[in-house]
Amino acid sequence: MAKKILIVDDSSTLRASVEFTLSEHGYEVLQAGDGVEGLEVLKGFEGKESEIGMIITDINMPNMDGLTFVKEVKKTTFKFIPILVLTTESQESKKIEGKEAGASGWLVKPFKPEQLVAVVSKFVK
Amino acid sequence: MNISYNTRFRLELVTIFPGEFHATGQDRVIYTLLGSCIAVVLYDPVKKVGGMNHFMLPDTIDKERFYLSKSGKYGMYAMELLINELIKLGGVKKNFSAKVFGGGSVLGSKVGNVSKVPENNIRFALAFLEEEKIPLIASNIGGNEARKVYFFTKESRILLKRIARSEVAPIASEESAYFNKIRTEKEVKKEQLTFF
Repeated sequence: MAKKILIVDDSSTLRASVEFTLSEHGYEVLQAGDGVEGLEVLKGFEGKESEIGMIITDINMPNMDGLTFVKEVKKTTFKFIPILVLTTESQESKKIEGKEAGASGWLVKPFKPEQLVAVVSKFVK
Repeated sequence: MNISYNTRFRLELVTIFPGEFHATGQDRVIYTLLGSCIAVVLYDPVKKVGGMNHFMLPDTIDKERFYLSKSGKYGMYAMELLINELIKLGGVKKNFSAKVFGGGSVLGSKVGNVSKVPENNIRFALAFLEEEKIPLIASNIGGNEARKVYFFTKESRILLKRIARSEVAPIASEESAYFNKIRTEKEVKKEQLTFF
């Protein structure tokens, strides 16, 4: 079964672009518009955590921002799933915050589709 | 970007140039001069924050799925920078409304066969706003004119001045330089990816 990738971003165009790119490479993409929705999607996979291969999240989002979302995920049974932050933020201080929150990687937008696929295939075996 | 005090408006005037944006919760005027480029003004009337960007797409876009092309991604990036700054200032995306300006055919023969630049810019801005469900409440786009756009952030008011084609030579050359820069820019630099 194809591993599922959860994309959490408030931009529907960005989510559509990520879904198109990753589904072309055989991944199934789940979408959420902010951190709160992201946690809800994960809740639906309690007991079958291994179906989720990776989480990709934006930083600046309404309701729950990306860094809070990463910290919340780390408190759940989904804490072993790698999380890539995909954001326009590129300051070192922000990246350190991401690392401390528990993210596994940081990719600054705008990104090349091939680069996203390469990062995902590195994390999702 | 250039910030100065404007004695006529009795307000701080923030001038933005191609590729730039500005967002604020203060009582200011954001000003830009547009030829073929597009400026999108976003405003949150509840949180009283607003901003404007000024951008151009480097290439044509696919009408249906504009977000898949290099050009579409470039425009999305320009929009996201502005949206993120407004969110940081306390803005709430579902409150946003948009105004779109520019996309005039003023580059003329300056950049060869890229006569579709204004059309692409307009098409992108409208498609993006529709896709992101941000209501478009006003626009002044297309035609052969350049435009001066003043955005009064406190009351979200626009003052628009049209400039005759004969007066647009400096804008056209500035936009051509910007266009050539973004077309030849390397898309992704190495340091954009970090593993922890």
